[in-house]
Amino acid sequence: MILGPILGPILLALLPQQPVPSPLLPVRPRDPFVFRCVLDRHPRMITAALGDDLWVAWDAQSCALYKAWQGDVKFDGPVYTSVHGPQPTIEGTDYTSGVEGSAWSTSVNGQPVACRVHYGGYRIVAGALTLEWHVTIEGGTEVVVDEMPEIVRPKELFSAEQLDDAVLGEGNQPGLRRIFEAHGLEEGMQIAVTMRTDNTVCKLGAFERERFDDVKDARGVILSTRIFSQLPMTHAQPQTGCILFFRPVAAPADATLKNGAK
Amino acid sequence: MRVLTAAWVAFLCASFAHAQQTPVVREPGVSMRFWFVGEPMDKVMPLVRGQTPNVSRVQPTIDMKDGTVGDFDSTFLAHAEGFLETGAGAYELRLTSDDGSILKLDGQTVIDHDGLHAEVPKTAQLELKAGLHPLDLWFFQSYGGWTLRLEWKPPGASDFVVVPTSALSCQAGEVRVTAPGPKRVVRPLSRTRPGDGQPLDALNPALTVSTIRPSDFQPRVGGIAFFADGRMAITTWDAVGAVWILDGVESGDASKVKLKRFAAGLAEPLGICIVGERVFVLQKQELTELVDHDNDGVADEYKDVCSAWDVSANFHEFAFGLVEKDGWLYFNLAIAIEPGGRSTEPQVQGRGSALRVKIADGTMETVANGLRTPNGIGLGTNGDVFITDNQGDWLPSSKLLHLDKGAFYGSRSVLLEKAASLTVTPPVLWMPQNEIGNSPSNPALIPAGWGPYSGQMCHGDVTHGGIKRDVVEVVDGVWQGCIIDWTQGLECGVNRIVFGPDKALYIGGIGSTGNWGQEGKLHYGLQRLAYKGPPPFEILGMHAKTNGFEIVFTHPLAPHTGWEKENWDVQQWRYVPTEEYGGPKVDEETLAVRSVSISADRTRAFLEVDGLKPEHVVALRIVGPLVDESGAALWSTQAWYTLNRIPKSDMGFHTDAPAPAPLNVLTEPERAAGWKLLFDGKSLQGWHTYGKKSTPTGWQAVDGALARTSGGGDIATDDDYQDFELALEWKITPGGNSGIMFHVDESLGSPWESGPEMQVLDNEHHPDGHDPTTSAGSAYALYPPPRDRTHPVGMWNEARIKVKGHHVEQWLNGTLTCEYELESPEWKTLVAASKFASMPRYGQVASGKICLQDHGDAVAYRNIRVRKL
Repeated sequence: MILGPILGPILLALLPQQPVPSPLLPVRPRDPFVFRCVLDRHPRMITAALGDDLWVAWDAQSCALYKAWQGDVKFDGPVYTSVHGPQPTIEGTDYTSGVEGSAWSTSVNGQPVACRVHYGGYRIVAGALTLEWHVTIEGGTEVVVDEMPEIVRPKELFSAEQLDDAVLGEGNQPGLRRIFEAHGLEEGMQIAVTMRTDNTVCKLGAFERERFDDVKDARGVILSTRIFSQLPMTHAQPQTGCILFFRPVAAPADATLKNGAK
Repeated sequence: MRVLTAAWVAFLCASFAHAQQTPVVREPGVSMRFWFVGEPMDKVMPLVRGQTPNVSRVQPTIDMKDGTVGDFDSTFLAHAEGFLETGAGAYELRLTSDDGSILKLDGQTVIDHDGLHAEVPKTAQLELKAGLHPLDLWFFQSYGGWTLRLEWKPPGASDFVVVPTSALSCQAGEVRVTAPGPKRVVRPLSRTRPGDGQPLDALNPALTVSTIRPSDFQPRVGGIAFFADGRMAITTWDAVGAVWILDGVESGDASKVKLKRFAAGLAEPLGICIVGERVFVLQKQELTELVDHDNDGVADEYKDVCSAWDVSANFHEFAFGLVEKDGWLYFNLAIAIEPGGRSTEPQVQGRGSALRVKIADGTMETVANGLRTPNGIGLGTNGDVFITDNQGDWLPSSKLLHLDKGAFYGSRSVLLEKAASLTVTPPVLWMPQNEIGNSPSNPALIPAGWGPYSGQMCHGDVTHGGIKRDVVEVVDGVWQGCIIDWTQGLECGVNRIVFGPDKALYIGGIGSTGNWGQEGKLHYGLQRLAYKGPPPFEILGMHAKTNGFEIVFTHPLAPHTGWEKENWDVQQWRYVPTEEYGGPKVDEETLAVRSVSISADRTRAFLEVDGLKPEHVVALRIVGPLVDESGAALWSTQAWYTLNRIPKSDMGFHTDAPAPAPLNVLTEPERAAGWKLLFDGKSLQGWHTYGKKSTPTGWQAVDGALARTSGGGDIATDDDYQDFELALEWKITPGGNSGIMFHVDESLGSPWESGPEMQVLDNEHHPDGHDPTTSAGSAYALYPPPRDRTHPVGMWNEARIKVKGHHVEQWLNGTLTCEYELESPEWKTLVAASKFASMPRYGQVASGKICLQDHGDAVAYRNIRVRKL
C-alpha cells in the first residue's frame, strides 16, 4: 500500500533540516553502529546497525543498498575471533535486498544518459548517518547525493487510526527511512535511485516508474513479485525520500545472545 | 556533537576492553607442531625462541608411530596443544613414547616421561573437574623408531583407549606457518646466550622504556602517527577498528595520558598518517580521510580518498601503510593466502604491490610489485621509502627493500609465469628466518639525539620481537647492508614504530594466533623508548670492502684483543626463492678470515675474508672473548650482511698486530703476592712423568708453552701442594681432552684415582662436552659449569683453581664454574654415584701433586704459576 497522498506531509516533516539531538535517536545495538568490513564475501561494505531489529548494509563497490535485515552480523575472522579464513557474514532474515545492476539512472532534458557513480564516504553527525554518493553524469557534471538512512517506527509517526488504515497493527515494526538530497544538479538534469519496495506492509514516498517482476517456479507458477521503485531528484526538487515498513520477519532465535548490547 | 565526558570515555574503554577478549573458537583435534633439530637429543629441550615449525597441522588424536613427519623421521621435537574435555571424576592417563615426553594438564605436569627410552608407557591417575583442560604435550625423537600415544581410562572404563577426537579440541582457523631447515635448541651447556646465538631478551642498556597506555586499554596497534603538537594517534586492529588520540604520551607516564576515541568502525586499519592536521587512515579496502568538522575531537566524516585498488574477501588481503612523501601517501597491498599458508590461486590482479596516492586529488599509481606480506613501509636513509616483506612462498626469508619505481621484488604469486622473465630487485637486507627476523614490521630512520645510532634505520618484528637496526649503504649502485639485533625487553611483539616529535621511539604491539605474535608477550601494547645512553659495547655497523668487512664498534676494544682470527666466525650462504614456503640456506660455508686489523683507536676491525661471493648473505658472529676497555662483553655478537655487490676498489685498512705480551714471566705485584712460575717457557724443569720421577717424555716446551706433542703419559709437579692457587692458560686442539688434577697421590696407578680434576676439553667436538658434568671447567664427573665458558678451539683459555682446606673454586675465563667442599655430604653423595666410588683415595689426599693429563690429544699450557695459600 502506498500512503503518499495521506502521509506525504509526515514524510516531508521528517526530512532532517538540522541535526537531531542525540537523545531523540534510536538506541543503536552496536558500538560503533556504522562500520566497514567484508560482509558476505563482499569486501567494501558499509553496515549500519540502525536499530535492534534493523541492520542495513550498502556495497561501496556497486554504490547501492545491499540488504536490510533483522538479526545481526556474525563477526568472524582474525580481528574478531582470531580465526584466519572466514570473514563476517549476515545472520538473520532479510527484509529487502538490493537491485541487480546499477541502482542509479540519470537523464538530461528527459533523455536517458549514462552516469558513473562512486562512493564518497560517510558522515556521522549528531549520531545520524549520511552516506555520500558521487554521480558523474555524461558530460562531466558531478552531483553529490547524500543519503540519510534511519530507522523509524509507525507508532512514532501515526495515530492509531492511521495505523489501522495502513494495516500497521501496533506500529512496532521497523521502517527504513531513506532521505536523498542531490547537490549540484543543473537545470534539466534528473537522478533517480532505484530500490526494491516489495515485502513491505506499506511504503511512502514520491516513487516513480515502478516495475513489477514476477518470480516464477519451473512450472510458471508465480512465487512472488519483485517491485522496483524509483525516487527521482531534479534541480527543482533535489530532495526526496521514502519510508518502507517491512513485513514482520522471524527473529533469529539467538539474536539476543549474540549481541551483548541488546 | 557532544563532547565525550569522562564517563563516556570510560564506557568506550570498557567496551573496547571487552572486545579484546577474543573468544577461543575451537575445532576438533589437537594442534601439532614439529621442529626438525638435526642433532641428537637426550631429553625434551627448549627451542631457541621464535622459530617457525617445519610441520604444523591439526590431527584428530595423539597416536603416532614411526614414519616421516614432513621429510624427517628423526631428531625432532613435537608439541601438541589444545584442550582435553572431561566430565568430573577419576581419570587415568597413559602416555606412551619413544623417546621422551612431558604432559601437562591445566598448566601442571601430570606425566614426566622424559629422557631417552624405548616405547614404554607411563600412567597417572587424576581427579578432574568437568570441563575443558588446557593440554600441553612435548615430545622428542632422537634416532630409530618412534612412538607417541596418549590414552585414557575414563571413570568406569576398564581398558585404556586412545583419547578420542571428541574429547580433544584446539584453536580453530590458525594460519599454519611453516619453514624448512633445521631448528636450534638450547642445550644445557650451550655456548649461546641472549645476544650471542640467541635473540636478545632484555632492554638495550642505552634505552629506557615506559608503558604509556592505561592498564585497561589494550590496543592491537595497526598504525601510529603524531600531530605536530605531540598528540599521538593510533589505529587498532580489532573488532572496533578505531582511531584513538592520546595526549601526554611524551611524559612516559600512563597515568598522565588522556585517551579519546576519534573514530571507529574501520576495516582492519593498518596504517595512519597525519599530514598537517589532516588524518589519513588505511583500511583494507580504502584510503580514508577522517575529518573533524566541529573540532570536538571526534571524526564526523569518513571520506573516501582512494579505493581504486582491487580487493577480495580473502582475510590476508591486508593493506599496510602509511607514509607521506612529497604529497603522496605510500602503502602496500598483501596478496591472498589460504588458511594453510599457501598463496591463493589465482590472485586478484594488483595485489602484492606498493602503491601511492596523490593527496591533492586521490589519483593512484602502482610503484612496484612482487611483494607478498609487506607489513612495513617507512622513510629511511636519504628520506627514501623502504619496505619490509615477510617470509613465504617465493620469499625464502623476510627482507628489507628499497622502494624503486617499477621494481619487481620476486613474489610470483600474482603474475605467475609472467614473473619468470622479470628482473628481481634484490633486497637491501635478507633477515635470516628465526635468527634475526620472522615477521618484520615498519622501518624508521633513527633521528638525531640517539648517540651513535642516529642516521641508521631500525624496524620492529611481530614474532621475533624487539627492534633491529638496519645499517645500509649503496655499493655499485645497489642497496645493501647489515641487520643487527638491538633491543628486546618490550611488552609485546612490535607491529609499528614511530619516532615522535620529542624524538622518543614509540612502539605499538600486536599478535594473533598462528605464529604471529611474540612468544610470552602481550598481543597488544603501547610503549615509549627513549635514548639515555651511553650505548653498550656492541657492533655499530658492518661495511663491505673489496677484500672483507669493516666492523665498527660502539666502544674501543680492550688493548691487545680482537687480533686472533679465531675470534671471528664468518658464514656465507645464499637464498633461492621457490614456490615452497620459505627456503633453506643454500651453499652454506664457513669463510676463512685471512687477517685481522684493528684501527688505532680500536673502534674498528677489518677482517680480510677469503671467498666472498656477491648475492650472498654473510653472517658474522664474534665467538672470541672480545671485551671493551672496561672488560664488558658484547651486548650482541652478531651481524648479518646482505652482500649484493662486492665493492670493486675499496680495500679495507691494514694495521700490524702489536707485539705479544711476554709469556711465562711474573710481574712484580705477582711476585710480591707469592706467585712462582711452574713453567719457564723453555724447559720442563719442575715436572716429571707421573709415577716415574723421570723427565717427561711426549711433553715439550714449544713456543713458550708446555705442550703434549706425543704419547708420554701424565705429568706431575715435583712439589706437593695443599692449600694453593693455581693459574694457567690452556689451548686444546679440535676434539681434544686433557685435565688439571690436584691433591694427587703418586703412589697410585693413575693420578685420577686420587686427584680431583678440572676438565680441559673441546666441548663442541668431544663427546664429554655434551654432558655438563664432564665438560670443560667442570669438576670432572661431579660438578658442571653453569654454561660453556670456553673460547673457540685454537684460542687460549684462562683457568684458575683455588684450594683452601676443603673449599675448592674453579674458574674458567673469568667465570666461577664450580665451587664445592671436599668431604661435604653433597660431595660424598656425588662421589658415591660416580666412577670414583670404587677409588678409596679419591679426594682424600690433603697435600699432593698437581698433574696435567695426557689423554692422547695435543694440548698446551702456559703462564703456569702457583702460590701457596
